[in-house]
Amino acid sequence: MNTAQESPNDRERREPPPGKPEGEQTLQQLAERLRRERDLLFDETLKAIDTAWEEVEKIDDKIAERELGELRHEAEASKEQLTSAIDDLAFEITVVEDEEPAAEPATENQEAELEPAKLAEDMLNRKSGYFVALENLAAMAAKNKDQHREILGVLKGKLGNRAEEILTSPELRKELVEMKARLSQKWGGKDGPPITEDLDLAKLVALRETMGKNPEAFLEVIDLKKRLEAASGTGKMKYTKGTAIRLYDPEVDQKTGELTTLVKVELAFDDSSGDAAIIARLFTREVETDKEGNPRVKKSVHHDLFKLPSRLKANGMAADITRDSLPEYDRQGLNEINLNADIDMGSYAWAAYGYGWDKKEMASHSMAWQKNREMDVRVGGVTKKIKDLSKDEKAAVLKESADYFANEGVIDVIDVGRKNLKEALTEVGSAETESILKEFESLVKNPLTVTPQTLAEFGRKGLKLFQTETTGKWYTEESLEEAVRNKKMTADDAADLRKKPFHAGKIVLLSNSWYGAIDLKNTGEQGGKNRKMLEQYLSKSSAKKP
Amino acid sequence: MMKGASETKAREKLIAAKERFAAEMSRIRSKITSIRRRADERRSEKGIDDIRKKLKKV
Repeated sequence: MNTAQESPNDRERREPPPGKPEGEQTLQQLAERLRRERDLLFDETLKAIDTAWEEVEKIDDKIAERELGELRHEAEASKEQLTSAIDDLAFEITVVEDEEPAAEPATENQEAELEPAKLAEDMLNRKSGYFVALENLAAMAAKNKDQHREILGVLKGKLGNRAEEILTSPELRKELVEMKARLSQKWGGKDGPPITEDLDLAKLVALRETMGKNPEAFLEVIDLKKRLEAASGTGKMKYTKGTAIRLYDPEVDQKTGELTTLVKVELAFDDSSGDAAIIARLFTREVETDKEGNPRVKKSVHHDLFKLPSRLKANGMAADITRDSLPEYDRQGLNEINLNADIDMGSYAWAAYGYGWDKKEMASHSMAWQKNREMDVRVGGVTKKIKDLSKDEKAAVLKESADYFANEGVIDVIDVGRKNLKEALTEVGSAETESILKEFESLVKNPLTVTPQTLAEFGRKGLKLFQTETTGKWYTEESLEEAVRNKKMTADDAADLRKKPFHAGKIVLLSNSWYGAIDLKNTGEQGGKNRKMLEQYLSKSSAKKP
Repeated sequence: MMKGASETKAREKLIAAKERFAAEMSRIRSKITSIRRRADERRSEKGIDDIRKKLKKV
């Protein structure tokens, strides 16, 4: 299958490029060559993503957009890994060149002559082996106030508010050394994936700020292989795929000095059944403005991919993992869980878990917002079209009118739901069609009062329909019996369908797409209500043996 | 220090890293193809089709 996608360039690339063969190139030349090849491959991949993106954007295919966004992240992370490998080598070459003339070990005086700011910068650029340099810097800073100020200035640019403590606290430095050592191991033994790779000091600190002192503890929660072994279930799993914890670009927020970052935690497995399994969660640490206009740190986790092998579906594993995640999230001090409840993931199921609307995402994905791309807005005294705004300007405009557009997003969900419901009821020719639709209209009359749960609960005790997975055809109990009588369906198939009844609310939410969030702290806008719903739901479900 | 065996090792490590990257890019490109194919399939699916019609109306 891959051969179909192979471009002529792929074939060319396998041949060594003209010029010196690899063996005769100096390491610097090799590094240069690999940088060029990296850029070529990366640009080509990005171009393919952009072309596909334009295509799916035209048809407003949110699923494909999300998948492509994910691929872009993967490509960027992969590029970053290769860049680190090349830079590491380039660094070693430089160090060797720098060190060779000075055969004598540096004396204290010689070290003091080195510019502290330059040393600090070099240390921050290293992917490994930076702790000795950090200790030297701490010692220099402790001896001399000017040097302290100078070193701190450089460190703050990359490590934010935590820089001072790192410089002055030997305990914290020791903790970081231990953390780095643990995180450089493989997860789950020698066949497992590396826990982290290329963790420079800024990433290490950002990871600690985001996920706490033991980020690897969360891997225990999402490790399906270990869970299966502990349950002595049948069948086995093997770890697949790259690094378990990856960080994207930690940045220091200019106003607050807080480190902001995105951490992707992912474990993937090959199941003995032949199916693949994958669990991915994205942890973010960002600075947002509260209602009084004060900046504050917000930590959240996005429940991204969750794919179980068929044999483990519907056995409570998902609920178990979510239940065990909660104490970890609390330990990390997270504010929110969020997710995209879409066609694939079962937009009804997440409503049952207790997710409320994620207003920010509902707003930015609402059709009204998408439609308003041509609309003029005033930003910083200048009139611009929404589509021409920068990312930050867009975020500011969206925030200003978040409630309006979030409500529009809810109306989109209602619109799709109404259509689903009407079509299903019309297809089966139910006598209740009119009354159910009327009831639905009165439920959604004021969209501000509609929650995912009000939609999911709608008509729970009323009419039940059944749908075939293959054709999507709807049946009532009567038409199902009739189909069996007329031998259009076997009694077994009908019995299978009866196991999965659809009430009106379930029909409304199926093949719908919305963005959900649960505040983990009582201080959030939800006041802890949705978290309570989640806990209640989880207490009812638990894993059966696979 | 970076002579002989260690230099060969560094060289090999780097080339292996590039090979991994090339394989990853190739995997991503083939995933793009399947995303486009599935998007095509979804396009013809009832639900998305309806959304499209609605979009055209506005």
